[in-house]
Amino acid sequence: MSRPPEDVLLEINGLRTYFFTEEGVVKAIESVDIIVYKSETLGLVGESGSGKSVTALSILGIVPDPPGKILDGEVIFHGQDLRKLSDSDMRKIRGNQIAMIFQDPMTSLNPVFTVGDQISEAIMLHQKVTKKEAKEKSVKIMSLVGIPSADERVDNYPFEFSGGMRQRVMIAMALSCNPELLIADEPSTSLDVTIQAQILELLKATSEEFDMSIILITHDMGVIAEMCDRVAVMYAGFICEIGDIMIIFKSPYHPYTRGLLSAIPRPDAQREDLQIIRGAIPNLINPPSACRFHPRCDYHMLDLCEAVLPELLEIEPGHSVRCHLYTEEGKAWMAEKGEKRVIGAVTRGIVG
Amino acid sequence: MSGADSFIDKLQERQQQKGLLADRIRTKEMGEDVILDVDNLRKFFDIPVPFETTWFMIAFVGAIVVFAFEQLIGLILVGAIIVLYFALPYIPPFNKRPKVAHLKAVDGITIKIKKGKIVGLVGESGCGKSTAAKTIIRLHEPTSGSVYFKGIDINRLTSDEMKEIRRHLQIVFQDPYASLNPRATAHDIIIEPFDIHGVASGDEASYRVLTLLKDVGLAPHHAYRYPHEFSGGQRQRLGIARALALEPDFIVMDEPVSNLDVSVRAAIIQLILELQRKMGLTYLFIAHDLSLVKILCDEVNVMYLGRIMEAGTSDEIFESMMHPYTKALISAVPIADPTKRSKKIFLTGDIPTPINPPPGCKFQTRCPLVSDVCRVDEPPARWYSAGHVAYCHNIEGGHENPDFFNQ
Ligand SMILES: Nc1ncnc2c1ncn2[C@@H]1O[C@H](COP(=O)(O)OP(=O)(O)OP(=O)(O)O)[C@@H](O)[C@H]1O
Ligand SMILES: Nc1ncnc2c1ncn2[C@@H]1O[C@H](COP(=O)(O)OP(=O)(O)O)[C@@H](O)[C@H]1O
Ligand code: SF4
Ligand code: SF4
Ligand SMILES: [Mg+2]
Ligand SMILES: [Mg+2]
Repeated sequence: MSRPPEDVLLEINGLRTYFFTEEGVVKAIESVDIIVYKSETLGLVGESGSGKSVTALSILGIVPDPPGKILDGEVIFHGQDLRKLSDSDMRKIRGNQIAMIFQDPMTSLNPVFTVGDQISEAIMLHQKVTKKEAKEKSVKIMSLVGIPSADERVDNYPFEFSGGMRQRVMIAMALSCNPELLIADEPSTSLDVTIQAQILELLKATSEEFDMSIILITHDMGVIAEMCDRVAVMYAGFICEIGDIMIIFKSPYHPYTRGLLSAIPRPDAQREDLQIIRGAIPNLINPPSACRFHPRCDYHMLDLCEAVLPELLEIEPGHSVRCHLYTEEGKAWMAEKGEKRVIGAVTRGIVG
Repeated sequence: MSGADSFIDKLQERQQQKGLLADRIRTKEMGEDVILDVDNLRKFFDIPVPFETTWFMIAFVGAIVVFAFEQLIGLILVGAIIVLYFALPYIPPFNKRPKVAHLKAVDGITIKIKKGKIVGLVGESGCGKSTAAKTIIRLHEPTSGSVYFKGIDINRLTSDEMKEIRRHLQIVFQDPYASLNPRATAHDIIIEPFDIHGVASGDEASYRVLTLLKDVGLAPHHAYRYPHEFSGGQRQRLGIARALALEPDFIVMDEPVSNLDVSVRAAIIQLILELQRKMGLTYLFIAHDLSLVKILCDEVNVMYLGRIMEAGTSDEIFESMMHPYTKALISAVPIADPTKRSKKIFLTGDIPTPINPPPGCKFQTRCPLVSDVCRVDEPPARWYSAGHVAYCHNIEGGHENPDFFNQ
């Protein structure tokens, strides 16, 4: 299911972000291509170190520089390339039209100011309101995100809140300017399942109420399955597969997506069903050539996968895969060797 | 390990002579091979209560003000207040105030762990899982209650006797980095328990280190690496190798995979299962990831605020749970199947502090079924099968006595 072009909110093409560190150049993001539609939730999933957070920072133009640098690519939001905007224009968009909540709520809240001050400040940064109005609005948003007796708690400091409540404060701050796009980086990873369920429900409800799109970053396939309309699977700086949630869970095309799905306990699985993806995510200073997944891939085609980078190919409308199993080069390789390696058709997905 | 077994026999005999083995006999009669019998175990931590300082502070500030005007009187006042501040805790009736509060981390848990099983312990963060596990293997001294290992009341053992038993009761921690000495090589880390217990030395010990490394999927050349030179998954393998060194019967796995990535997680889980099959180990498995507990554990204990709320087989807990807390907890678990987006039960609020837990049922502050009786009386045990028990006033069915199912 691909939607018409006028529904596109954000389009990332060929994004490349490196970190120039003392040990060497960390090639954190090599090529990220993502489309986010209006009022959808897009999941961004992958092992830790695959570049999910750096993708988020790159969208917002807040990659720490030095050592980080965006080297290439476009980040088109509402038809304009954010990379071409001046710093002051970008600042207006950040927090206003695009907001972000970070992995660790404690490090992103300032411990010496009350949460009310911090939400008010976020509001006043983007809206012409008085201090008093901003505080009133803060209280309103805090109760909206489910903080009980918000009119009192507005004067509390971050340490006086539990982990779940702090994450609510972060969400309140992010929502304070009615953003069109919310980037949520592991918003519930450090929380208990009971609190996680509350936070995810809150995100779901507010995205519907405000018609907001969400990029939800997580490594938890369960969270993706519960929350998302579409999923992008990321590995070592590349998007390897992107598509509708039902398609990805039912018939994953990319060997890595397939590996991720069989490494988690599925609803009706037995002990023996847990599969391993052998090896580990590579060092990105010296990443494997071409398809970076090739040292771990069971379908690796010798002299092809490590030599030629497969392009991101649209297999069906709205479903793209970056793997030689589906490219012309790959098909020629299989024909030449007389080997048949199809996974899309025969795979045992999670659904059904 | 016949030597160790004869030691256990000796201890059993000794305790029986002292008349301490009544429970051992009971568990034998049950016909089950209960390796650990945890009976009403409590572990309270004493935490200091700061002396009420508010009005002293007010007086203090007042005195400073006086001091500014009237040098001598002010000085005497300040002195008197300081003396009083330190003396008051010893003067009646003020000395009756408790100087410490009890943090009831584990408040009366009963678990039977059968040989060769994987027993899960689940619950929200801070509910007392780690404390319970550590108290079970006597890394903490319990406040009350008993733990019988093969019928031996381990909390009555002398430290020498305990050292022998310690070999059979091991633990693997969530964060292998924090639990391994950063300045010791993998070889030294694994060989340490051999030295402490004098079971092997020299070449034999080194040989056994290499065997252990192989058992947990590490290579011989890893022996001379330091913990920081391993990946998270490899470090966890090292932690497991160390726990295995003395050929234990029972290992606590305290969130062994929580800090690991999905793919590494699957590999460590497979290792844990393989070792269990090969060596006939028994595990107490603590985890946050309930979907993992579901497929991994034979039995599951659900804990809340220092108490067991419900216990049963994995199927009983995940498919036919009775307790409102279990229902809420399990409904909150995200299911990795987009066609099965479930309806959640949302608990309001956070877990209360274990310093002043509510009376009656500990879950009352968040329970959707709470009624007046829950605020007064502790809920009784009701049994839904010989091994399935839930503690709640307001759920239907069940029997007061588990023997109902044994007839
Ligand atoms: N040494 C200690 N002194 C005082 N309080 C402690 C101590 N160790 C644990 N506690 C408290 O006991 C309670 C239970 O802690 P415990 O570590 O057993 O929880 P847990 O269930 O393992 O949580 P988590 O899932 O976060 O690991 C907590 O309130 C904790 O703060
Ligand atoms: N400030 C930085 N300096 C150097 N390398 C970095 C920095 N931030 C991230 N990286 C590297 O970029 C890669 C991707 O990181 P990240 O986006 O945080 O992964 P994820 O969010 O998917 O876990 C990793 O190899 C990481 O070490
Ligand atoms: S391109 Fe080759 S190595 Fe890469 S995922 Fe596809 S089959 Fe595997
Ligand atoms: S005893 Fe009462 S408060 Fe406790 S779980 Fe049952 S219904 Fe809820
Ligand atoms: Mg990250
Ligand atoms: Mg713990």
